[in-house]
Amino acid sequence: MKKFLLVFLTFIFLVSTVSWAVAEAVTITLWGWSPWDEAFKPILPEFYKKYPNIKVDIKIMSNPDVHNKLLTSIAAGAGAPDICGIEIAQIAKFASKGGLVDLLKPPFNAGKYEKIVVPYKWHESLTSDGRLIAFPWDIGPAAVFYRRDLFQKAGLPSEPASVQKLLSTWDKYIDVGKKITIPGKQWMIENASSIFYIYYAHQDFFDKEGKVAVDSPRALKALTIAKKVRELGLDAKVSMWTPEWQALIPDGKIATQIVGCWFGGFLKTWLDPNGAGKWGIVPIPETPGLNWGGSNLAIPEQSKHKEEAWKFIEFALARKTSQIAIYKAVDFFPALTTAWNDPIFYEPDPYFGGQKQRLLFINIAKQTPIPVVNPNDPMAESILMQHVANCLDQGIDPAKALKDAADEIREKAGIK
Amino acid sequence: MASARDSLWYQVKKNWLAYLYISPFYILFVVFGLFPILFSFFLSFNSWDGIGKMQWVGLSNYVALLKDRLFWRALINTLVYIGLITHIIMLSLALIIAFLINSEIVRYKDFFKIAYFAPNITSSVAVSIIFLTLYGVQYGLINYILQSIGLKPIDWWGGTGFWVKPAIMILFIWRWLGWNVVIYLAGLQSIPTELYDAAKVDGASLFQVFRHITIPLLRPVILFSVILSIIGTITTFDEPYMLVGSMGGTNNAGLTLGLYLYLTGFEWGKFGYASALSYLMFILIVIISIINWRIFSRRPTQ
Repeated sequence: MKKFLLVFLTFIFLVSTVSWAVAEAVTITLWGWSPWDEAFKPILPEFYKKYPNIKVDIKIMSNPDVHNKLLTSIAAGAGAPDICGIEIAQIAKFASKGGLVDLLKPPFNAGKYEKIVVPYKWHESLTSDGRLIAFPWDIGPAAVFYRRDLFQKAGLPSEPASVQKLLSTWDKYIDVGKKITIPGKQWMIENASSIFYIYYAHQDFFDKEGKVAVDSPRALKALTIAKKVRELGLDAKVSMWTPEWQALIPDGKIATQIVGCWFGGFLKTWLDPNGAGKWGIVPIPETPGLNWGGSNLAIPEQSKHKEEAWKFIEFALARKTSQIAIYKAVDFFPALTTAWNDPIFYEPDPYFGGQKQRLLFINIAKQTPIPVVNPNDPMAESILMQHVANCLDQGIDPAKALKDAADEIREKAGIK
Repeated sequence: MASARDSLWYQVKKNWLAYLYISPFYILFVVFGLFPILFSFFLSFNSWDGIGKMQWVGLSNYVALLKDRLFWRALINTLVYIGLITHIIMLSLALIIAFLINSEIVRYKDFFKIAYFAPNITSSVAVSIIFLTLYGVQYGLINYILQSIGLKPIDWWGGTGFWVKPAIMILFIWRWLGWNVVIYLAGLQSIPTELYDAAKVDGASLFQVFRHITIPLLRPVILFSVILSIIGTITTFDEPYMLVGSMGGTNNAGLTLGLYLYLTGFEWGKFGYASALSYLMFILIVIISIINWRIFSRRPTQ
């Protein structure tokens, strides 16, 4: 028995030394949220073929967890992954010096990709002192998703070309809303605040000089329209992501939803998988170049495998075939403009009644201006949307609501 | 030397094995309890975004907080609505239910104990989602019932935010009622049955028994539950966060101190400010607990 044990232990020892010798491979960890495991699945086999010595360990957490854990591990000086996902809404938090590597510096030299990334996304990812702290992945060109069947029932045209004319201005949008809305049964939009929000999705709360810009004429116009929609009873007063909203959308009770292009992926996969042929997409009235959402990949300073991490980021985000594979898998719209000439963008999409919807989003992305990003954006967004809700719910004058919001943001951000 | 033998270090050295056995708790407490407590106290005098350099700002975080409209809104929401009103309703209900379960007129006592306690051990997130469904504006069960008996549906999240508070309060009471019932039941069972029997012989009614025997003898238990409830209230987070989000919904009607702490710290990245807020909350808890202790520890008259 003793002899057996000795042989056994020797065997274990031998095996472990052998595997130690073979496995010189580097494992890089990547933090992200669902469905990133699905996103990288189609490109990983090829990556492993090209870089047999790099293993990628993808850890999926909830979206707020990824950002909070990254922040705490940067603060603690340990525990950060080699690659971390950052949603565009959160990027401002990480803009202060330290924590994440500047990808424009050697050995990364990400600057060479500037001309093939859509300009607004590139600038959105830059800090005010010109560092690139996270590489652009996907964008969220925004549009109006509409229900063809509800437009038809109201005796309106339902093909994208004619709906685009029908919804070419916000006044026309309100007119259509009056025809479609049946109080207590179906509504033009889920919540009037979404009309305002699409103009201020994570950005432009401050101008280039850092002054508060939420009481601009543009904001006033958007809020005035939203208030009119609310007063006419055209919205269901339901908030996005609530269980109720998740029931109203597939039931065909909401005629339009104004969101980023990722909404198409949500509709197909979990929100309304049986809704093929019922949805169409048109640009947002008057201001087609708007964006909501998108994410980036960053390399924390703590990482011991920065070069391997950068190899993966380059392979996944700066390479056309990877971006197309990810787009096909999870509908993450590539920020990489070289991917946009792929045949998939010219294919009709059966879910959207044969509409060439992907081409539409390229056009929207091309028209999107460069946004202004500020470290105080998350705070400004919550305060602004609070005052917008107050305006819509309590009938406060839009100009006053925006002035109050601007005052409060100034006070909290400590600026004049 | 005798004094060296009595010294703490000598005792520790002599009984090192015993100290080793109990050390895991203390090590974990120092790392996850004591350090954050001291560090956040230090942070409350600094301005820090979590990544960059800390900047010593003295008392200015505290001064800014006392001028902050949202802080006062959160304080009033927490203390008056969720604190005072909810707890008066919840604790009195819990006391009555515990008294009834404990009395002889109720059968299947274990069933009721489990039924009242079950909400407390379910996940607060899951519960909040179920309540969101009940509170639906267009599709909600409550509005459906109201409309089918000819009443106007409730605009839960809109208007001046009036209904936001009841929505949170109902969920809060539903969730924590059973917990208090169990505490009161334990307290009730320690009251000698002779007292009840004597009262019965004297011909006391159920209400008289409740008023003159149960409540006075339950005083320490009530104090315990009130203090725990106050601490729980001041740190309320899950329920309002799930129902109305981190700004507390329209008019900040559901903004609690716990939510505001999360908002300023983790969403806005102002960790110094959030730490100052947490210390104000701590002071508040201490003050309220002392007041409670004073009120309840007075010896009952007679």
